[in-house]
Amino acid sequence: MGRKRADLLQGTLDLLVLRVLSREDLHGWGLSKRIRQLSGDVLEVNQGSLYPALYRLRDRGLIEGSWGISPEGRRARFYRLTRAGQKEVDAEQENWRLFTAAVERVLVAD
Amino acid sequence: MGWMRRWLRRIRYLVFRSSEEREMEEEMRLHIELEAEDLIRQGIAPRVARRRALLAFGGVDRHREAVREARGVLWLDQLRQDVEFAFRSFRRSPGFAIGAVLLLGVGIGATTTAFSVVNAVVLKPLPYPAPEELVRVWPAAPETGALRRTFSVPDFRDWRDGSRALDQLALYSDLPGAPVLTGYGEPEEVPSVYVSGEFFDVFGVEAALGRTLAPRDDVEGFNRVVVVSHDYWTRRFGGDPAVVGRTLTIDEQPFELVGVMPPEFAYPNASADMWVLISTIPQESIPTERRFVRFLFAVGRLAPGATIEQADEELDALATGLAERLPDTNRQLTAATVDPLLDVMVGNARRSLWLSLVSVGLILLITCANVAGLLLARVGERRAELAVRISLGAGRGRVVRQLMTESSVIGLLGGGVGLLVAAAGSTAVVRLATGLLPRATEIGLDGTGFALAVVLAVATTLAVGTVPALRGAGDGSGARALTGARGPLSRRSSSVRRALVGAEVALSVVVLVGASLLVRSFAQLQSVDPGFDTDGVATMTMTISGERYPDRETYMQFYRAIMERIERMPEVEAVGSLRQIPFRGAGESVDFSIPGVYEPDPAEARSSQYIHVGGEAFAALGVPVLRGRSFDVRDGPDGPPRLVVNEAFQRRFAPDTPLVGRTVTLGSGEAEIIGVVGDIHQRSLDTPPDATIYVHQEQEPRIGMGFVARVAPGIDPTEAAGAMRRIVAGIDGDQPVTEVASMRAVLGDTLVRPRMLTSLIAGVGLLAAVLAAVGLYGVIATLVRQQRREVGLRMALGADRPRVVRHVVHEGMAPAFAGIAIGLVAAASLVRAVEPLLFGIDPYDPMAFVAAAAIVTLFALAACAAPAARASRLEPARVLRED
Repeated sequence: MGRKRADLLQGTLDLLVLRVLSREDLHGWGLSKRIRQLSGDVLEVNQGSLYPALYRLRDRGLIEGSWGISPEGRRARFYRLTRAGQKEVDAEQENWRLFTAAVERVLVAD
Repeated sequence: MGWMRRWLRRIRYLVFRSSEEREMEEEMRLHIELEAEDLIRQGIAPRVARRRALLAFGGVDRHREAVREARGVLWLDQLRQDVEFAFRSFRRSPGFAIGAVLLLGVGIGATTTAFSVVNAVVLKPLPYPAPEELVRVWPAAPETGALRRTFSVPDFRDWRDGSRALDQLALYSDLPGAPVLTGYGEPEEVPSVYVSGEFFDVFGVEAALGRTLAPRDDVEGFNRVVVVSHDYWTRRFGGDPAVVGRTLTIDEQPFELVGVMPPEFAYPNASADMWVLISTIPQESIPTERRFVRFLFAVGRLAPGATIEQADEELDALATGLAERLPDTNRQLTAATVDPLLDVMVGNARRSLWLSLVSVGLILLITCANVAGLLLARVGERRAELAVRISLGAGRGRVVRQLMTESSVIGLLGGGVGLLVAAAGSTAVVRLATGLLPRATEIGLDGTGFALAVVLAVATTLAVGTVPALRGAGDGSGARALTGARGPLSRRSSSVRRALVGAEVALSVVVLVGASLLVRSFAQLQSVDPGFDTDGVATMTMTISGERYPDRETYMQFYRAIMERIERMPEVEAVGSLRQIPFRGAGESVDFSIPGVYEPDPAEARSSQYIHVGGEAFAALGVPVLRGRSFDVRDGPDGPPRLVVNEAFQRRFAPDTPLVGRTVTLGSGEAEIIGVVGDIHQRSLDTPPDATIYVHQEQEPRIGMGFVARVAPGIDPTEAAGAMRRIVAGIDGDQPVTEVASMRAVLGDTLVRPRMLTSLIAGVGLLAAVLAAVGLYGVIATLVRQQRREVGLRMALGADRPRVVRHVVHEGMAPAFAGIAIGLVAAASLVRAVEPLLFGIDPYDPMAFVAAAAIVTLFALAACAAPAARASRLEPARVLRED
């Protein structure tokens, strides 16, 4: 039971990361900032939790990282969606919609 | 694909660990700095901003661990730590690690070698297509009890053409006289197999180069074709492919070399270098077209779907038909015997090999028990360390994993050493066993055997290294071990260790009983009196070339010239000749009767051995003439036919009648018995002497012969034999000599096989005893260490040193004696299996059991000696103050 919930949360964070990266390449902090902005600061995740997700996605080949210079003029690793990552976003986005719709229906029925 | 990438990542991570870690840290630091700068831009004081950024990030270390975990490298990482830690702890106690690794290595190596041999020789199918269809076929004479007789060519043709259950049938024979190859350097006898045209088709084997012999070659005028072995081709022709198609001069006749067999083809044995068609043997030398000339073997292939029983039944009927139709030649051969080829090839070797495998397997068990004991002792001694690690917060699972890693590392290192031992072992076996063991060339290091041995070893170390450790880690005794400077003696683990040692002793007794039986049996064999002198006798074997000396007159002249010159050698005291020198084959056999003494019904007639002798054969071999006289000049080619018989002949056919002066009726006519000589073991030491008739070479010549010469005292018979070879070369440089050797060496050859098995099993037995003693030593040494205080106390209370020694020895010998008792009982129930390998002793031979028990007792006492001495040297005052 506990494990399922963890997976769900993890999966959600993965989806957010992939979705944001599908629009632009970002480094770690930029990504974290963007998620906060886009969610209207509702999704205030523990910022460090982003990194396990990033490394996991990178090991799965969904994103790739390359070192470059950030807008702030600092050396940083930029993450970019791979083709496999794009497919994953499309599929997961669809799943997410089905999932939230289902949850929504249950909530409304109550 | 995905999993592969993940694994590559993980490995990359481990390899480039430091740079990956650095990058991760850099990323996280940058994140926090950027967050802080962002907060500062929003107007927050720098110091506060930095703290809030750190807080929002939520603990760098925690996330770093999470990253590792997310990447699935955490356990790999820990494994690396564990392995490193294991090696560190081995460095602290190298004795333990080296001991355990070597023990396992020897056990695994020996077992793998033994398994490799058994697998190659007994278990693995023969290296031919559909090997289960291959059979050996024999004519049988059930009335005389001879179920495996030889074929003649006409019999073979009738069987081959009449059988449906057999798809194919072929004849072959390796004759003692090998044909001579000339024109390629020195004339040379080539060990050859004479075959019928179907031979290679039966096996279904193609030539490596050129072609094999085929039935269509087996036609007069086209049959002078030969195939050579791969080995011979490399040795003699330098592996030159161009020799195929070339003409060779064999026995002064031209033969075309049509093919080279692949290296793995070695039938009927590995010494076969050339295959020649039987039909090329001149009828004058062996009348192969005569039905009673039976000296050939047959190998066949069952028709698809046919069984051995069907073939047997069908061939029985065929044989009975022939016996009725041709009573003169086939009266006795009324049946057939059909055996699976593999069974015939492996034959006696099967039992010796299984015995070796079982003995060596017991060694592996002893080894595992030994290593188990070592690990138990180590865990007992490491309780304090484990307790410290647990109390410092190491998870219990982590500690167990650490111990398992240690055990696996030992098991795997042992496996590595074992692999080296096995590689050396199987190479040595191939070298030693070629010619002694069937299929020796097929032996190679066997992966299955090795895997089995390693799995067993690792499983043992894991089970033993972990379970007691777990108990130690969890039950608080470790904590006690910490508080008391010395841990309380774990009664349970030491009783387990004693049981293990008892088991080791029992197993070693079982192996040693088997070994003692073989040693005793070998001693019996060696003490058999062969009936002739083996010292001071030189021998030379040859077959006079039928092409160069085509008739009796010329070859007998040659023979006499050789005899004369050997006789003139100053170092020779007496010289003679025999059709076959002892241990190199039996003579011919002959049907006979002695009018008035032995006149059997033809159906019950027993034949006698029939051996041609010349010169002073009996004197040269030191065989006594018991009654009458031996052959001499009176028994020349023109003299009346005369015979000598041996004591066994007298006992068997005329126990109560003096035979000297009696007339014997043979197929060739009548002859008078002039003397009776002592028995000799003609065939081998372990077969009793046959009833034998000796006939004079001058009266009934043979071209195959062995010369025996008694040399003067102080002369080396091997050198004399070399001089005899030079005599032959001096008369005719193109006449090859098959073998020269001292009689002692000939005897030695016959003992090689039993000696090899005996020394192997004896070695294994001693190894078992040593291993059991090592195990016992380990237990006693630990015990003495653990009981220092108790012993010191006893001594302080007045126990004298002999008493301490007695106490320690008692502690050690109790499990040893229990093990010996169990081992003797177990051995008694198992010895039946060795019985067929024994000569001249009972499997329940009490001496063997006593010897095994005595050897183990001695080793056990030796194992107790050092710890007992150490205990008796303890200074009570010092020991008691230690704690």
